[in-house]
Amino acid sequence: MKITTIFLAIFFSLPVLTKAEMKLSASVDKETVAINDTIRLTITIQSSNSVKDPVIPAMKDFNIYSSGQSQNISFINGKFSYSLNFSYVLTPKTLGKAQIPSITVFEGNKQRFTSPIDIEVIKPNANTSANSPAPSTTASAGSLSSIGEKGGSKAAKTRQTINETGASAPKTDKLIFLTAEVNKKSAYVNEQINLSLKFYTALPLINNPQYSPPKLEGFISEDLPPIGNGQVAIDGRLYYYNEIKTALFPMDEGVGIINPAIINAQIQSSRPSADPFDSNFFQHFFSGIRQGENKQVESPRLKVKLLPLPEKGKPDSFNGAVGNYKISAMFEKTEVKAGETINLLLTISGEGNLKTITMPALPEMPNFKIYDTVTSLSMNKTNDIIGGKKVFTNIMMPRISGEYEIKPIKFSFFNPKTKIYNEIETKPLKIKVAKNGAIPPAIDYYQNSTGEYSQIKTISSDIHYILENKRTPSSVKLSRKLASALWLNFAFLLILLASVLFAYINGLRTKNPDMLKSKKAYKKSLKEMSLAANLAREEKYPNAVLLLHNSLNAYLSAKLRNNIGSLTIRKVITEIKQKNPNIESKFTEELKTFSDELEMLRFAPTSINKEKIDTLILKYKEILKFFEKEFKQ
Amino acid sequence: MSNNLARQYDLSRQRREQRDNKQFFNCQTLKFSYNKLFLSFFIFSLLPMASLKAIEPSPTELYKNEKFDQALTIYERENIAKPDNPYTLYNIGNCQFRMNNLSLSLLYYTKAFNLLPRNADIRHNLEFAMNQTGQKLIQDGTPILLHKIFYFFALGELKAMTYILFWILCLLLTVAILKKDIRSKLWPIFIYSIALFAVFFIWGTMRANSRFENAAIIIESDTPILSGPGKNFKTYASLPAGRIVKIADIPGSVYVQIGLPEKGLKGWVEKTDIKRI
Repeated sequence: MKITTIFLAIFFSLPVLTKAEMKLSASVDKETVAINDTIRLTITIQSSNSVKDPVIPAMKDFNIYSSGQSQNISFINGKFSYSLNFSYVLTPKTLGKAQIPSITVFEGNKQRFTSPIDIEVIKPNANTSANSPAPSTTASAGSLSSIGEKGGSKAAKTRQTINETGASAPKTDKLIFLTAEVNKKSAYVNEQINLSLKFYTALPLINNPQYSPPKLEGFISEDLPPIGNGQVAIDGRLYYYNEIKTALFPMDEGVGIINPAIINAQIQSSRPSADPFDSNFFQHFFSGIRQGENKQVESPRLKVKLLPLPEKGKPDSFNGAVGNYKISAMFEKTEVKAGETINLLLTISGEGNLKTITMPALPEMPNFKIYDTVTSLSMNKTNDIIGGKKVFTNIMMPRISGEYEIKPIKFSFFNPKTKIYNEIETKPLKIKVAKNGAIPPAIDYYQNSTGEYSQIKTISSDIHYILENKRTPSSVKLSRKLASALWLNFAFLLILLASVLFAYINGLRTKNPDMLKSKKAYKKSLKEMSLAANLAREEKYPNAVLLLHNSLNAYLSAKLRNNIGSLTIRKVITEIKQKNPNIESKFTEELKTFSDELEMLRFAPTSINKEKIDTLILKYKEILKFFEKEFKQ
Repeated sequence: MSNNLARQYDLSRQRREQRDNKQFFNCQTLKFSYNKLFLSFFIFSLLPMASLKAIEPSPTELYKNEKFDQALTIYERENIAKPDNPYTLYNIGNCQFRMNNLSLSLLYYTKAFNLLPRNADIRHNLEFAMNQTGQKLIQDGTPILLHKIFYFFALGELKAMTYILFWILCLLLTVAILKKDIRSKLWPIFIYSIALFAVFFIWGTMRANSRFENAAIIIESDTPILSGPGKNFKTYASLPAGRIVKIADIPGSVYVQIGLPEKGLKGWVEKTDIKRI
């Protein structure tokens, strides 16, 4: 139930976010800046769709450099949010009012704009230079501050800078040139190397030089802000320089190549020897509109030896991280109900290429269902060292109630300074899971013989194996026999019909018993006649006579549907005549004679013999035959 | 004299007895020899059979050693002897599957499923083979439990149950008609029986019209569906091998009218292109 709720929440929240408009904002850390200071511009994008990097327009008032980006994805309490922060460092070019123009961000085909931001660029003073975050900029500011009211001490600093930098400056007779340097000649895979590109010029530039960064082979790069600038004396000639730094991370062992960077500059041909101490030199350096000469300079091609990471001492948990890191983990809540989701936040922070760090393996958590992991990254580049923190949010759901201790999560990295592998781990985490009504069954887990839980993984599927020595199931046999016995249905139907018929007859019998008696009277009398004959054979003549007498009475009672036992033969004949007026009188006379004879023999049994009985039976038969015919009519 | 006679008599009797005994023993020996001969003959006559049995490996062993064609021959022989055994049909399906005859394996799995639909192995292999041919055992939107209940009994079992319930109903009615005094006691049983009869009757009717009854499997790939029973008629669709179709009509000896209700297709195919389930 809870799983369904989570997915429904994600499912329904995504379209909402999709439909929701992208939120775009731009902010600066200060609105008034000294000419020798920098501004940090942050562009924040909140969107659920994929967005492209902001399009930075040409800025006439500032030089702009990327300072990295960070993203934040979170899924907390069913709410899904996603934001991207792009950071830039801006160095002002001219004094006075300046403006950061609208910055465009594309979301598919739609484009959004930030509002322009007005900035006031002022002359440097003690306060602003003290607040300046970048040392290189401070040096540059020092040189500019020499033209300020309170710049005496700064001028001295500038001179110091000149002397110091002059000691390491390249010797050349060129008026404009580009140098490239790396801080390491060899580096391990994924170890940070800083590339410094310096553009020197002894001539004032008419407009902004166009810079093409070097093509890198075997590296991934990250901009390092801010730009450094300053002045240096080389062979007695004063040069102004701008420095661009980039952090490089080797991808694989071998040789990494940094191809030449190119700068196209327009120099003022008419004023080849500009006075570097002119108070307006900086403005002229970037914004001159005079006619000039195009000049292209290239940096040298550099090679760096890329060393493989040592195999010795490599921990099992090592996943390619190089640098120096710390790890911590925590549950958002320490108490949760079974079936509810909870976030486990794993934070890795330190120095190194955090972008390449992947989620460390979680320990076995058989009673937890683990869903997706979302990642957020925030980077900093303090002192030209890439670092920051990466937070992995693991969404999980406890299945069964109880108190659990999560084993430490291990993470290892190679420290290029010490040249050894370090394995660090989180502290054990405790969580209390309370009972809940609906707990989804742990169907995809099983417990092995050692009592540990493992997840079942389906690799592929196939048909099941043959079934050996199996006989035809009796249910199949029996059902086939029964299903083919259609005739049995008719048999049972016949039984039913017979019972209906029987019931009908029975019903008739119970409704009109006299009629049934009347119908059966003849057969009954015939039976009694044969019984009388038997009695005569046994010489039980009185009994035979009595039987015949009773038989006649019963027959006539049945036919007349009246008990004639108490009636005289005359009354019986009258009733017969009433029922059947057309009856011939000779038959009624015969009946009377037969009845009288029986009466007489009943009371004078001595004159009876076998022949007499037989004669009576014959006579009785004839009378009955006649009356059967008569009563049927 | 009498003693001599008596001695002679005794001697002759002894001789006769000895002769009789000898004959008896001879007879016994002969009888024993005949029995032995018969037994030997019987044993020798059985030997070839026994040796054949011993030589012929079991289909299980053959299947295990991936000699699927040989295992198939034995299973097919068993199927001829006992055509109602769903396990033999299932094993034939397995052999056909291993020999890459997907449509024939599907045919035998379906036959086995029709006889014993509640067997998990048969169900699994049928579903697997159907998936391989782009078909689904359980149509989209049908709950699995409902499908399993619907296919719990074979059609024959449903028929048998309907018949039995009909007989029970007939007997109950007979007793109720003849015995008025227990009619009231029989009434609840009668209601239950008639309800069960109705359930099984409807269930059986539905199963008789389900996709695996009165159906066939296309065994030739790209079988053309014609708009009439003849080659002169237009071909308007073709069916891949392994597709389960309903047989609508069998008008002639060459062409069969088939239908695919879920696709709304109906047409004629050659009889040799299909195999009836």
